Amino acid sequence: MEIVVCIKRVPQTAEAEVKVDPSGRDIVKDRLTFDINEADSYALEQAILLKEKYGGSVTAISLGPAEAEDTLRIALAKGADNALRIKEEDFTPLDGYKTALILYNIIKDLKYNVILTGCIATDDGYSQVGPIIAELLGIPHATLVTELEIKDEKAEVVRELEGGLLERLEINLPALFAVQTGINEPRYASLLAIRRAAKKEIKTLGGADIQGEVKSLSVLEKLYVPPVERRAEILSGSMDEISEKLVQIIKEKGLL
Amino acid sequence: MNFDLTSDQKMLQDQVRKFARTELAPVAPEIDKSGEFPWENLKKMAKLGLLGIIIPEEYGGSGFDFISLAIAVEEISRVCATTGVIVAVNNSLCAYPILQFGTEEQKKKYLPPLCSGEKIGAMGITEPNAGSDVAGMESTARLEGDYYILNGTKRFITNGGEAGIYVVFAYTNKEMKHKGISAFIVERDTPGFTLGKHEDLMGIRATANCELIFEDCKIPKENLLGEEGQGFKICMNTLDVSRIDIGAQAVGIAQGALDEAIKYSKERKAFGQPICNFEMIQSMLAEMATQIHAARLMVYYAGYCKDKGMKRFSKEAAMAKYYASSITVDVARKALQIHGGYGYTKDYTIERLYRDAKILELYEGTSEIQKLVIARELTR
Amino acid sequence: MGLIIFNDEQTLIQNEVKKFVKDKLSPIADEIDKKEKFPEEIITTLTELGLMTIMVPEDYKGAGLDCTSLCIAAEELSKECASIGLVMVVNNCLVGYALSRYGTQFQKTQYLNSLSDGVIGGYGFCPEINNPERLLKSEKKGGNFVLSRGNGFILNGAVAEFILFSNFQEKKFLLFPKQAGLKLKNQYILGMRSAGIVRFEFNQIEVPETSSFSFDNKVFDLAYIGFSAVGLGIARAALDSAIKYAKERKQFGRPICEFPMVQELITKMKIAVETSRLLVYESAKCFDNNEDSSLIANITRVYVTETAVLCGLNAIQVYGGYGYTKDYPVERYLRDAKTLQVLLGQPYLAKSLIAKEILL
Repeated sequence: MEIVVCIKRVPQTAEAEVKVDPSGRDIVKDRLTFDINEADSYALEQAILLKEKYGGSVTAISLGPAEAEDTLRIALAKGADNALRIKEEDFTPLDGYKTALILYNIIKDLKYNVILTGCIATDDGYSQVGPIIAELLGIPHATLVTELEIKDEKAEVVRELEGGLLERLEINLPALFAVQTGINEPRYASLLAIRRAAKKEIKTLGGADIQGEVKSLSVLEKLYVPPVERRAEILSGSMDEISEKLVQIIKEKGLL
Repeated sequence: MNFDLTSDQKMLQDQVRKFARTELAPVAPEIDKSGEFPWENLKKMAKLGLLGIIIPEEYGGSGFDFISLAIAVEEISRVCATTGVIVAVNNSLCAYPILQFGTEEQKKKYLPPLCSGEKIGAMGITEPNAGSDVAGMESTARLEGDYYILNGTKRFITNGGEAGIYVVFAYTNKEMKHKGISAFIVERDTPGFTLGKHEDLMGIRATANCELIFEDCKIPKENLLGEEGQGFKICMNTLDVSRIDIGAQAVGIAQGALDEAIKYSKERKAFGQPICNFEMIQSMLAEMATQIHAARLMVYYAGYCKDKGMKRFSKEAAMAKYYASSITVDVARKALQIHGGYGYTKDYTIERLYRDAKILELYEGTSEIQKLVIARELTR
Repeated sequence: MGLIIFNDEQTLIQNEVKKFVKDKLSPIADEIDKKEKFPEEIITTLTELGLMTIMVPEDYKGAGLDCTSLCIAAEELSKECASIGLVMVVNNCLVGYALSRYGTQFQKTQYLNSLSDGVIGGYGFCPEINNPERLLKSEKKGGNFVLSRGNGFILNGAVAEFILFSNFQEKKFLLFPKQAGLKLKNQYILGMRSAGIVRFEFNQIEVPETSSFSFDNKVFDLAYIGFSAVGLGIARAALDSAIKYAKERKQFGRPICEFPMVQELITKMKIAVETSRLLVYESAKCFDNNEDSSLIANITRVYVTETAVLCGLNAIQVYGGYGYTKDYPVERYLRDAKTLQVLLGQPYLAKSLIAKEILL
């Protein structure tokens, strides 16, 4: 089974203060630590689990800056067989479509039965790249995947929907799956694996390796922190009265 | 002079740090409270290869260097000092001397279980009447046919209560003074070997710190480690090396204390601002960070000396251990002060770190002994 | 010794307390700490000896003695068991003295009197005293004070029947019986484990207006001095233990007291202990002479608590590995010393008060 997994290096903003930089279109990055996007680490683990079960190889690809090689190296230590970095610096500025287009350009020449991505990136949160790659490749895809089994050239997946509902699908391979966090328990790279990864090479590809033009479909105009307003209203009355008032407010705010 | 970590070392640091934060930190308070040997932690760490970091792959180890061992022990100790010392002792006080001085048979027999976590290792030097005065030990071993008969008591042995493999020192020839001490590999289920008192410690409370009692204990003569009379040299050589990772443990505890102090000083407000804005707090934090930075560099340097193959690095190792242990006590003290009113309660990790820190000035050679080692090297 | 001269009464107290400590306290001090038990039997005896109300005026059935006497007693008790010394000092300085100096007639009759019957008073405080948002906020409602949201510690809380809360913002004490709606929680503490220190929190509590009264800094001067006497006791205990051990323990064929490095550890302790002693009794005298004792009390608390911690650390160092085990009392000395230091307030705050006094 040939598996391709796309991983992204993102800033860790959970416990950090995020500030918009002078250009107004990006955040100040010099104080932040970077690491693999959370959902992507689950995608990587899933890729390795599939390889361990069905044999084959895992190729990890990242469209990122030179530092993304650290992320790819850990992917190799965790069990990926090949790693590819596509030089982000040759393609900025990027939007979701352009990213997917670049990745598609590289992946289309690889052998693959399963392509895995994370379902959402914690920096820009678009959830676009996986589905767009699938569409460009002309293969089926499923998102928010929480279970993935392969049976006779077909994938059986479970998708997590709103309200606790689950959807079960049967999908023909080759296909792309954007996995949800929690689908597995990502491993830590053992020390032996870290040493072995040093022998594996990370290939670098750039603008010259992409045929044709790659264009964005959207332009980021402005990045800003939403203004903080403090307004709280405490409703009083009977349960019915409060519900009435609440519905009224929701209607007024245009949320219904 | 290259101060960069290698790519492998960086990955090891990244993975061990994440592992420690996610898997070890949440259970550290309970381990301290119950004092129970953390087998769960050790099983997980064995899978990652952390129990035999410096042992070559051919014996089941991970084949990393001593700087890597220091990095790993520091990251672990940052969240759980008990687990940190267990890993350090396994690697450098038990596996290392067998690797360095053992026969091929001994290495093949004892190193794999130490690396896989099947057996934990310990080293028996200290006795009730012989702490700083190693050569003052009273244990004896006499050769009778195919066995050495070992008699004596060892005290305060880290991992002692749960280990499966021990490196134990005893006199085979009292007349030769310290040149009459020999080292032995002793297995737990050897007849004549029982466990004695389990120590109740102020900190690092789950290390199964125990007394080892040998009464006509029959050790197969193949288990002599090195040659007769080589014991003292083996002991000193091993202590030189282990000072690297024990120094790293000290740095880890101090770093953990600093992490807590910074976090607390940003959250806690007084007079309308976070206390990290006050000059007195800033002064303390600055001192702490500087002390840790210096200690870490000294530990890495000692590791570098060993990795480079320097024949004599006793001074560098002793300096690293001496300095790191004194600053960790000071850093923990300052961190506790910064925490103020809540710091001395068990809600906050810092109370545990304060208790853990002090042992660093006592074991693996007290600070006073370290200074004697350094002075001796300076005046040779 | 030289400057510190005790009169006959004070010498008598010293001897009595020493005797009590040797006969009744010494055998059970370790056990008290290990069990983390508030030693009720001892407290009863201390009350009978008059030590729990040593500074309470005779009108209110106290011994009517001075701060120096208090320090003597606190030092001797704490040498054996710092937790007990702490309980005694809290009862005397923060409860007894506060009531007798600032309390209303009603409060004195009601509460001060009861202390000599064996009732224990507690002292409650919020550690974040300088955070206006977390202070005890009180509003008047009818004839009552309504206190909103507080959380902190109560010294003697485990057995106190009434508690004095300090509201530093308004410089008022609030006094109410324990059951007034506080949620008390046992708290595991680094040291002073048998002193009955508990955690408290409440959301809303109403107390009658009559339960509040103002205070000035004098009560805290006294508290600092009293607590420092506890610290002095701990330091002396650590020093004496270290000396005894150093003479007995042999390594390299000699008693370790012959090694200069060990001597250095102990000499440092001795110098600090003697200096601490002078400071404690100097500030006690200052207080007894009704002079302004703020500055000297602050200096004393900084120096003596640092001394106690130093002695704890050095004593463990002298004992080596043995000092780290619970078989020997030295690790407890360190834990008690450190806890005392934190309770007394961060040295850096005390130092800035000193700086303010002498520089600004």
